[in-house]
Amino acid sequence: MNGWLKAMNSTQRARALDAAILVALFGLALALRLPLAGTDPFGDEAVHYHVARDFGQPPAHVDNPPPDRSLLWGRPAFFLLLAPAAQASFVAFRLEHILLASLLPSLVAVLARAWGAQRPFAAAAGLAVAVHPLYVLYGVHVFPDALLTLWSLLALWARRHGRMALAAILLVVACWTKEVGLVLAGALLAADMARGIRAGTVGLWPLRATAEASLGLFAALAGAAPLAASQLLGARFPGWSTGGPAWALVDLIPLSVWLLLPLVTATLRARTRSLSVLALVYPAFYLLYRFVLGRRVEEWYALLPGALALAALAVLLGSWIEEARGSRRLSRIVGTMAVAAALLLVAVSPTIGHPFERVTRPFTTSPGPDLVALERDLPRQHDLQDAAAYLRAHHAPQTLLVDVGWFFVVYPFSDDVDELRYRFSDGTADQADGWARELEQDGLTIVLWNYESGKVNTVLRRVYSDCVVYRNAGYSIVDGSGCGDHRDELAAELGKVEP
Amino acid sequence: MDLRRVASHRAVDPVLAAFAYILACGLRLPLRSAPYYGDEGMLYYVSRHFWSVPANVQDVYLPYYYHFGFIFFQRPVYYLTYAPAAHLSFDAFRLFHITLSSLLPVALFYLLRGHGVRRVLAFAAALVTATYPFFVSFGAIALMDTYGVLLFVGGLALRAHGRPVLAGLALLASVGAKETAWFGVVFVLSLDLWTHRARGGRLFPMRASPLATTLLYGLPFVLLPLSVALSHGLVPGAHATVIRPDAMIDGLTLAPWLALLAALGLLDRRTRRLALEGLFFPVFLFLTHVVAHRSVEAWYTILPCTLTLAAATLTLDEACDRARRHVLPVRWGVPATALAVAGLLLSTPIVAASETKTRILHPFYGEPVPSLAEVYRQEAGRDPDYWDAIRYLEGRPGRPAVLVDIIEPMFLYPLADEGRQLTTGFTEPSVKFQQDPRPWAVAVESGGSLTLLYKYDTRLNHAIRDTYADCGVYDNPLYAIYEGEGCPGRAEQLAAALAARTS
Repeated sequence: MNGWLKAMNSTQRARALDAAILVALFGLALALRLPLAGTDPFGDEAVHYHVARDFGQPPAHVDNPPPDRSLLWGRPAFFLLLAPAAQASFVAFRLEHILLASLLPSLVAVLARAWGAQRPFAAAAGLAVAVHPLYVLYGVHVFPDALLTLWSLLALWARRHGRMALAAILLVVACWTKEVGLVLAGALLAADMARGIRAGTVGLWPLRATAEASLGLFAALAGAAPLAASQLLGARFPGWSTGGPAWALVDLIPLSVWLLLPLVTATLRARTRSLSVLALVYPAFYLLYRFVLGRRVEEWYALLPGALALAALAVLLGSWIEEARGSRRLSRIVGTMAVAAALLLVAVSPTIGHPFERVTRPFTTSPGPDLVALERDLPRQHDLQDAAAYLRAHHAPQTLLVDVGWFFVVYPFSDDVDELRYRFSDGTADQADGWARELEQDGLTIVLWNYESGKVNTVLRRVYSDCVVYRNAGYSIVDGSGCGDHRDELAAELGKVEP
Repeated sequence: MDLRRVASHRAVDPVLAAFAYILACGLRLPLRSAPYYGDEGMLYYVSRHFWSVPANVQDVYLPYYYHFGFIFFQRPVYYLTYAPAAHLSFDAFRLFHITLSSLLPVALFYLLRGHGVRRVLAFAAALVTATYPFFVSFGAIALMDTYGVLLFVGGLALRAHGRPVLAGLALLASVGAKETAWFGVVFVLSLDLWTHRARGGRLFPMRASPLATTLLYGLPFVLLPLSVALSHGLVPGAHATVIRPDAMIDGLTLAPWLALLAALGLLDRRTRRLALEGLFFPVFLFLTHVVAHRSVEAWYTILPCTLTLAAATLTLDEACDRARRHVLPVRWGVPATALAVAGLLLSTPIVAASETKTRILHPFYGEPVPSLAEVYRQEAGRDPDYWDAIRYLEGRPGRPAVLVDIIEPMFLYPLADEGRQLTTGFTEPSVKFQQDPRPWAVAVESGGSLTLLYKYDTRLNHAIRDTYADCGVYDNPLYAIYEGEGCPGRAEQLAAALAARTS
C-alpha cells in the first residue's frame, strides 16, 4: 500500500485523495440513509410510488381515486427513472432513490472543487450534505427534489468543464424531474446572454445567440414542455400551498438566514460570483412567489438551493483562507478559520438540533428532528405498513378508510382489496346516522387513522372501541360487520361535540 | 371605363375590406339585445369589477368565494380592452364587441391578400366570416374568442404584410385574450425559426427573425398572467364528457372537406406554411381530445375554423394559378370549383337547416347548420324562463334574494351587478357533503327576501320546493320564486323533508 502510494506522482496522489473523499462521502451518506429504507411512506411519496409503478393508472377498485395522471406527465424523468425498481416493491423503489440521492454529497464536493475550493472545504460542504437531516430525510423519502438536485449539479459540473450540450441535456432532465429546475435553466440562460452581450457575440434584436446561449434557450424551452403538458391534463400549478410565515423561507431555502450575507458577499468576487448568484436565485424566486402570490414552498424544495449554497460557501471560504494565508498574519488566518468554521456549523445546525438551531434559524418555528433523533426514531415508524399488512392478511370484501391521508389511499391500502372507499370526519358531527349506516355494514373493514385532535374521529374510535380488531399507535382497524347497533350511542356522543 | 384597370387599383382592397366590415356589423347588430349567452354575464361583470369579490353576495354556509382572480388573470387583455365599454352598460359592452369582432373578415381579407391570394377569393373568404351564422353568433355574443381570433389572424396578416414586430405583439396579445392561442403562437414561432433559415437565419447558434425575437421575448411574459390564474387552482378548457370525437371533426373546421383542401396546401411551397398553421389547431385540439380527454366548446373552434378557411382559400388560389397552365377543362374547372366552394359557404346563411345541408357541412356528427334567420330566432329566444323570472325580481327592486342552484354566470349580471343583497348556495354539494339543511331555511325565511330557485334534481332542491310550496309567488317550468318571510320556522320541516327524500 505504502509502496503503491509512493509510486504515484503528486497529481496522481491528489486525484486518489479526491476519489477517496468522494467514496467516503458516498459511503457515509449511504450508511445514514439505508437503515431508513423500510420505514412508512411519507405523504406524497406513496403517490409517487403508485405513479412510478402503475404510470398514473388509477386503481380500478378505489371509489373516486385521487387524480395523478398529470403528475406523470409533469415530471416524466422522475417517474421513468424509478419505474423499474417500483415494479419490484416499495422498498426497492426506495433503495434506488437512496443510491442516487447518496451521490449528492460527493457531487457537492466535486462542484465546489470545480469552482476552485480547496479540498477540506469541498469535503466539508459534502459532509454537510451527507449529515444534514433535510438531505438525509429526503434522500430516503422519494420526492423529486433529490434527483432534481442531482441532475442540476451534474449540469453545472458539465458546464464548468465546457460540455455545454451535455449540460443542456442534463438541465432538460432536471426540469423533467421537477419543474422548478426551470428557474436554474432560466438563470443560466440569462447568464449566458449577459456574457455574450458583454463580449459582443450576442445580439438582442433580432436575436443572435452564441452556441451556449442557444443551448440554454433550447434547454429552457424543452424543459418547460412537461409543465405545459401537465397543465393541459388538469394539474394544479405545481404544488405550492397557500400562506405560511414568509420569513421562514429564508431560514429554509439557503439552509439558514445567516448564510445570506456571505453568499451576497461572494457575488462581489469574480471567482465565487457565478455559483453564489445561482445559490441566491432560488431564495429570491421563492420569496417573490411568496410575496406576490401568497404561496409557499415546502421544506424539500430547499435541497437544490441548499446544495448550491453549500458549494458556493466552500468556494468563498477557501478564497478567504487563501487571502488570509497570503497576508501571512496569524491573527487573520485564525480569525478567518474561525469564521469559516462558524458558517459551516450554521449550515449544518439542524444536524445538531436545538437550542443551537434556534439561533441559526431564528424564523423557523417548528424545527425538524436532529440527525440522532432521526436515525433513532424514524426506523421505528411502521404503523402504516403494519396496518396495511393486517388488512392484507385478513382480506375484507370492502374497506373504508377514515381520515387516512389521501396519498395512502393509492398505496398501501389500495393493494389487495376488492373495494375501497375513503372519508374524512372533520365537520361531520351532525351526521351520526350517516356514520352509523356507513360503519355498521356486513363485510366492511374500517381503517381509522388515530387522529387525536379530530373530535369526530375520537368519538368514532371511542364508540366502536369494542369492535376494534387491530390497533397500533397510528391506526385502528374496526370490523364493521360484527359491531351491532351503536347508532344511538354515536348520536349521543356526537351531539356533545362542538361544531 | 376599363373594368380590369379599376379592379386592379390599390384602393379596391380597402373598399372591399370596408364593405366586408359594414356587412359584418350589419348582420351582428340585430343580435345586440339578445339575451346573454352562457358566461357572457360573468364576463361583463368581471370587465367592470376585475378580480374583486362582490360585497353584496354571501353564501348560505360560508363567506362567499368565487375565483375571480383566476377568471381575470386568465384573460387579462380581454377584460382590459372591454372594461371601458362595460362601464357604460351591457348594451355598450355588446356593441363594442360587435364593432370589434366585425374586423375579423377584414383581418382575414388582408391575411390572404398578404399571401398573394387573388382579390375575389380573399373577398369571398372574408364574406364567409362576415355572414356565416356561426361567426355571426359569436361576433355578437361578447365571449373573448372572436377577439382573440381577431388578434391572432391580425397578427398573421401583419406578418404577411412585412410588419413582424406588430405581428408578434398582436399574436402575444391574442394569448392574453384567450390562453389557447398560446399553443398556436408557439407553433408559429417554431415554423418561423425553421423557415427563417432560408433568409440567413439559423437554429444553432440561433439567429432569429424579428418576429421570432418578439415572440421569444414575449412568450414568458404572456405566460405570467396564465400562471397566476393556474396558481389560483383552475385550468382552462373542459374535460371531455359529452362532446364526441366525430362532433370534434365536424366542429373544428367549418366542414371537414375544407380541412382536406387545406391539407392539399401542404404539397406546395407557397401554401405550406399557412396550411400548417391552418391545420395546427384542428389537429392539436382533436389530439388533446383523444389523448388527454380534454374537450372544447363551440366558441373555441372559431380560431381553427378561421385558419382552416384561410389555408383552404390559399390552396384554391394556388390551384387556380396552376390551372392556368393546363388544358381547357382544368383551366376552367379549378376556378369553377373554387367558386362553387365559395358559393356553398356563402349560401349557408340563406338556406335553412336541412338534412342535405347537414350532410354537406357536418357529415360525421350531423349537427344541423342553421341559417342566419334561424340563428336570430334562436338567440332572441334564449333562456325565456330564466329571463321571465328575472323580470319578476326586477319588478321588486332592492329586495334581497336567495339564489338556489343559480350559477355565477347567471346571477353576477344583472342581480349582483345592480347591488341587490344576495345569498347563494348549491344543493348538490350540500347533499354530497351531508351539510345541515337548516341554514337554507334561515336564508329563505330571512326578512323581505325572495328566493329564486332553479328546479334542479337534487334531494335538497326538491325538499325546499316541498317545504315552501305554499309560499310560492312565481312559477315556470324551470324556475320558481318563494316569499319565505310569510312561512317562518320551517327549518325542522325542511330537515324532515330532506330526511324523507333521503330514506
